[in-house]
Amino acid sequence: MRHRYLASIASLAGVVVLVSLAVASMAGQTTSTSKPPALPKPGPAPKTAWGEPDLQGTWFVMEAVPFERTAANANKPLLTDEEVEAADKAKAVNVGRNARNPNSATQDVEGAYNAVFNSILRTSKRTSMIIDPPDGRIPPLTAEAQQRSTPQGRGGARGGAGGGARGGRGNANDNPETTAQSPRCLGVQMPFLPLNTAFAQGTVMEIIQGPKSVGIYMEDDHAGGGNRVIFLDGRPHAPSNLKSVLGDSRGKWEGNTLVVETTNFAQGFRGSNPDTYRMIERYTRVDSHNLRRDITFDDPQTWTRPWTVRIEMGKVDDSRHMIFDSACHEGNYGMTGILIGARKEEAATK
Amino acid sequence: MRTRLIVGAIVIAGAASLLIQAPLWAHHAFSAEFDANKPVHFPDATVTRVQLINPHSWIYVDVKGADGKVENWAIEAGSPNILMRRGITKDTVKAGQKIVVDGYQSKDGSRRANGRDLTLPDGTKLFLGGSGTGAPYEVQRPGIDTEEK
Amino acid sequence: MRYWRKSYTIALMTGAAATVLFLFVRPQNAAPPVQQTALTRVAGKPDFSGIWQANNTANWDLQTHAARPMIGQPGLTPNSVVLAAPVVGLGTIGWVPGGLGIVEGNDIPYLPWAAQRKKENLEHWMDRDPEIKCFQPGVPRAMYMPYPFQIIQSATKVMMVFEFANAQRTIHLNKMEPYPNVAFMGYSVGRWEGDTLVVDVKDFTDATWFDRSGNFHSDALHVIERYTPMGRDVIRYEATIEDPQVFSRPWKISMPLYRRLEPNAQLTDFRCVEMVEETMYGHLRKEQLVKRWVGTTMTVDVTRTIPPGEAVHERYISGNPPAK
Repeated sequence: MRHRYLASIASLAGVVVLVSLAVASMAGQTTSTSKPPALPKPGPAPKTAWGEPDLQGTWFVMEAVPFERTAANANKPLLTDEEVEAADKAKAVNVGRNARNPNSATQDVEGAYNAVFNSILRTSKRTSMIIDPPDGRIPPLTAEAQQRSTPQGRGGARGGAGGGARGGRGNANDNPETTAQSPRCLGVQMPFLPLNTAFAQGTVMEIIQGPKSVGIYMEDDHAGGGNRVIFLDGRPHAPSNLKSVLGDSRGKWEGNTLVVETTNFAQGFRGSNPDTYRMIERYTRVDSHNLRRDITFDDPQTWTRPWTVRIEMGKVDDSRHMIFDSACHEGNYGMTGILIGARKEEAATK
Repeated sequence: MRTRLIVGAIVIAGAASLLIQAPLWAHHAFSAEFDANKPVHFPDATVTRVQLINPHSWIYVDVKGADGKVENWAIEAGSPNILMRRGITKDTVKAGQKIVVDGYQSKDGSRRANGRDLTLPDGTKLFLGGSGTGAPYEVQRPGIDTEEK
Repeated sequence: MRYWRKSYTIALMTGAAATVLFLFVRPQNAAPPVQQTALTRVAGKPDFSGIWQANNTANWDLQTHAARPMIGQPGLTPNSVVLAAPVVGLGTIGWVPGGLGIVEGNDIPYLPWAAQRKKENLEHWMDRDPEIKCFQPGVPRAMYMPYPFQIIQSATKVMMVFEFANAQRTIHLNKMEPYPNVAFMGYSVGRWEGDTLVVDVKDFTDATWFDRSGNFHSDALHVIERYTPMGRDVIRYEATIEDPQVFSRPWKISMPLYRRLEPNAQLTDFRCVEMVEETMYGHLRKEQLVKRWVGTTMTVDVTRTIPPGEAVHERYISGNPPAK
């Protein structure tokens, strides 16, 4: 029964059951051939026992939205239904990582693993996550930020890719610190955007909500997850010299929206200055099925104006396990494999 | 003239199909760990243990070496979380099960390989079993995909 | 008559003066007055939300123990010990503080083979303790690590975020289907018995320990916890531990958990994955990074070696019996 997804009508108002397309699992289980029963249309946004909008649940990004609007889509905030359908059709027949390259063993190795381990999201009508500025693109950098981004000015952004090995030019696999972020299992990178949807990164979170605090578990597929806490009791931010990888979050209700300000980041985002950068999220329970997460990025030393992305998320049946432990470092055989592999290659070329 | 910092972002062309091959920079560099010159093919591997862990699952198999002796190999597979959302559990693949392994051996020559293709003896992909493919959407949109039209 | 009035007046004025002093002159950051504060509730149940921490030596050693070296070797005289090489420079800090244990009856009922394994674990602590590698500590160890943790509680879930390694466990109060895998922090299902939260934890890995003394378990571990409020700021924590692969019977630990009462108490980052990269992978660097340290009376030279063959890939060296 566990391997067979059924829609069920929840007894609680506003709880939505999620049904995935039946994908037959191993021999012994049967493919579901019956259509799921009809579900009620989305109901009103529910409230907690203490009367506030209820943000709780396991939330999924259901549709792939490009981060910035392309030049081709300028002045076109929404695709047509036909364009969406065509894109989805193309995805359905795209074999993706199932395709092996018989002519290049290197490409074949890189292509691991096959597509069963990948996620695909449906195509959204929206042509950009960025909703402000209205052109769907990141606003211009300040002059100072442009200078910082040149090779001479480039600082050591935390978790940056490769390079910068002590003692000058080096290979990324000389040391664990210089391998890319992912093999190090350092956990979620804020702001936790759904940018790498093939590996379900940035697409699923669980929100647990009390009257004075909110916790958010961000799964991030195989990169190590992350757990945020948000204080709602009006206390000030932590002292400015106390930095945190996930930032320091304070929230308050404005009408039906939880506004969360996060500061004290240990690292910037897209080159922003951690000392002046802050992230403002707005969580709104749109209806029984949907949660909206708007994120405004503000750093007067980096961008000429604040900018905002919108992430729409759908709810999953509360009785199902759709979000999992993402312990990564514990099982990180890959780090050893990468380093020993590089050492063996060096030994062979001596 | 705007300078764009491209740090950790995918820019996806408008209505073009979204390829499910993840950009290589975003992920573990497989070719750093495994050797393209050392392909392995185990047509008759027997599962002894499955570890559904991150960042990569490991499937341990007994295979017969060239000398006829049985060796245990560790085969690296993908992250299990997406599988578990589709109903796979740690008990789905059982010890004793036969699978076919196509992959590349680790560079240090140890008995480890990445499972580039893991299939059942009948050719179907491991973890997908006997079904066809269909659109493997992980989750459905509530109120949209799960409503009768 | 006049005498009485005078002393009454003096008393009254003294009282008034004291009141004035108390109201207007007390220090700005006075500690909150000691009093029994009433429980707050969420959805009718005691609200455990907030910052908590145990205050004992259980993470060093679950059982009652005297002070001893972290890593020791025989000293000069019979039955004496001194700090061994890895920690000799640390002096006092290289010693484990003594303390009363939290095991009821102070006895951990190991099966004979397991009692021997525990002894070996203690000897090889530095190689085997998963905490040293920044592995998530599991349950119940996370509850008495020497770092605070934060509880966020709703009507249907109790989430605990641990300062150590940003680890987390979520206790499900609503009905859930079985968990399809194992997890370092196990899988927790809870229910209320009056004002006591009772939590059933299982689906563990084979890779965690109970403390820094080599007390261990298998993946068959099953823990039943009870959280009982003792006023708003203290929880009586009890856990019954069962693991028929390792122990001859269930056994129990109990301890208070204390609310961190500092104004604006919160967690700070202790993201130890980066902290241990040198320890765990330093032998695999292209060039050795940590080589030599020269002190006033001692020089430490470090040699790193790569274990041969397949051994270099070993990761879970806890001594725990492997999961089937």
